[in-house]
Amino acid sequence: MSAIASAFKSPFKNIFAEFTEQSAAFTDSFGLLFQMLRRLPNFQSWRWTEIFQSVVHMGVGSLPIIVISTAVAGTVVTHEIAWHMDEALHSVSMIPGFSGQFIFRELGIAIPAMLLVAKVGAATTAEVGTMKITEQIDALKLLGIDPLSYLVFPRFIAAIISSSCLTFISVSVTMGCALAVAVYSYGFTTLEFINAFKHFVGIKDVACALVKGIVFGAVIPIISCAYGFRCKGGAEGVGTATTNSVVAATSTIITLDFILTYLFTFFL
Amino acid sequence: MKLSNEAKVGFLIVVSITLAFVFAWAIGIENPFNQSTNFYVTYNFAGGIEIGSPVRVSGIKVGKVERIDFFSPVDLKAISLKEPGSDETENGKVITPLKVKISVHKNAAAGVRQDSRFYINLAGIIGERYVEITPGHFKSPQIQEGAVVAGVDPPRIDQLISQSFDLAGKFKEIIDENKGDFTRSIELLFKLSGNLNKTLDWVDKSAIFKTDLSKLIGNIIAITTDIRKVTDQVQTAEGEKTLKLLYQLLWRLEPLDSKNIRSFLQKEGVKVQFF
Repeated sequence: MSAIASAFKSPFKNIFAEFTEQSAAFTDSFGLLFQMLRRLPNFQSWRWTEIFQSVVHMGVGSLPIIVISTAVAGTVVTHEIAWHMDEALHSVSMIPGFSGQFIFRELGIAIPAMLLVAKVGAATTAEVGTMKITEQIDALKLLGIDPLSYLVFPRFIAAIISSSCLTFISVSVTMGCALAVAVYSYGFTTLEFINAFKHFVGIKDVACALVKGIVFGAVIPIISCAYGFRCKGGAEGVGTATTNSVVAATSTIITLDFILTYLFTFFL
Repeated sequence: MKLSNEAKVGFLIVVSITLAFVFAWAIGIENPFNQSTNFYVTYNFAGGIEIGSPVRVSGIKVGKVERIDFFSPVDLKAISLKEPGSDETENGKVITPLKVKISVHKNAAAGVRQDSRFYINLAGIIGERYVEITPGHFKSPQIQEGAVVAGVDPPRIDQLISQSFDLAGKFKEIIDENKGDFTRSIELLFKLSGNLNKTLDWVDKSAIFKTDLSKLIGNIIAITTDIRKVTDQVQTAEGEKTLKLLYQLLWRLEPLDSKNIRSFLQKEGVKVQFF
């Protein structure tokens, strides 16, 4: 009887421990966000060299994979939209409007954010986690360097800049591919596409893309660093922290995406 | 050539800002320094119009809906065209269910006059709503900034359906009340068509009708052929001459009556009796 009880007890105990750990990491993320927002107005403390390095690493480094992914996604989505429209309405005249709105509000923003989580977020957690377990962060503190100002804040600013820029670039690439598909596969002319697109996409959609890009960019380094700072144990701990941070950042981005889309659709 | 980090970041930011401007141009964001005329149109029912909906003058997009206010009091004198059904308040103001703020490009605003009509129309296969403004007469004053005008409410499909239900109900009542008459009428019609059918069948089968009809038709054809020949001949020069002679003869014969004939014969010594 006690064996059965312990068999049930163990997984529940693990789930409870995991839940506690995730909650603590999430609370740390909020604390870290607050710290970053507090540092924002103090421009003199901005470490431009680190910020530029991070922008190059995050933005320029992620550019090829984001361009390729969004190009493929744009092509596929436009074909899908055309197919569904043809099935439902027996007309493909709304391709520019539908694909434009979908790209501006979701696809062109969510894909770069996810790729940044996978590429930059994971790397940041691994880097900070390794620094934590090798006591480099303690060494920074001993040297009188604030780890948050040195490690997190430049990444925070860099991620916001990179994510905003990458959002516009990915939206452009996706729209370009949608235009190409519409022109070569469905007989649209470029002007026809742009005219139809104009009726559906407005300044609100561009603002939505920019705001989402900034918010997602801000979330990624915060969560990654929070999980990195909580890293325990050796290499296994770094791996676990990296996995958890990617999962947490992805979930947070999806949740924020829903909230922002809701706000932009119904309130703004 | 190896670029510095600053150059790479600068390049990324410049590219992004350029793309942002390209999008702004592509979606037609208007120049903030561009002048447009803003005025208000009141409706009792706006049929799905929303903020950002296009505004067209003579079918061309020249502006958009900026704002929609609900149940706002409007000075009665300010409304150029009064819509029936508005509730007038004591202090000379009307509560309009909807007051739509519209911005129209200054070039097109010249054609928007006090007697212009403001319709809410439907465009495209997915039914995009827009405000259509018909240009007014140039004798009428131009609509000024902040003016309030009454729009033309679009037809309400829900009301039409509701009214058609009422109409259908009344039809049903009439049919139910006069069910016997309707049934009799239908029966009579049925009998009439049956009789007509029988008659036609009898006519069709009857040998008399067949022969007589064929003869009659043959005669009519012969007569019309002869008449045609005569009219053709009359239309010739000789025919016209003959007609003229005939006319002259008739004209001469006109005064020839029984009195004249008698006096002529008496002169000749012939005694006749006319009846």
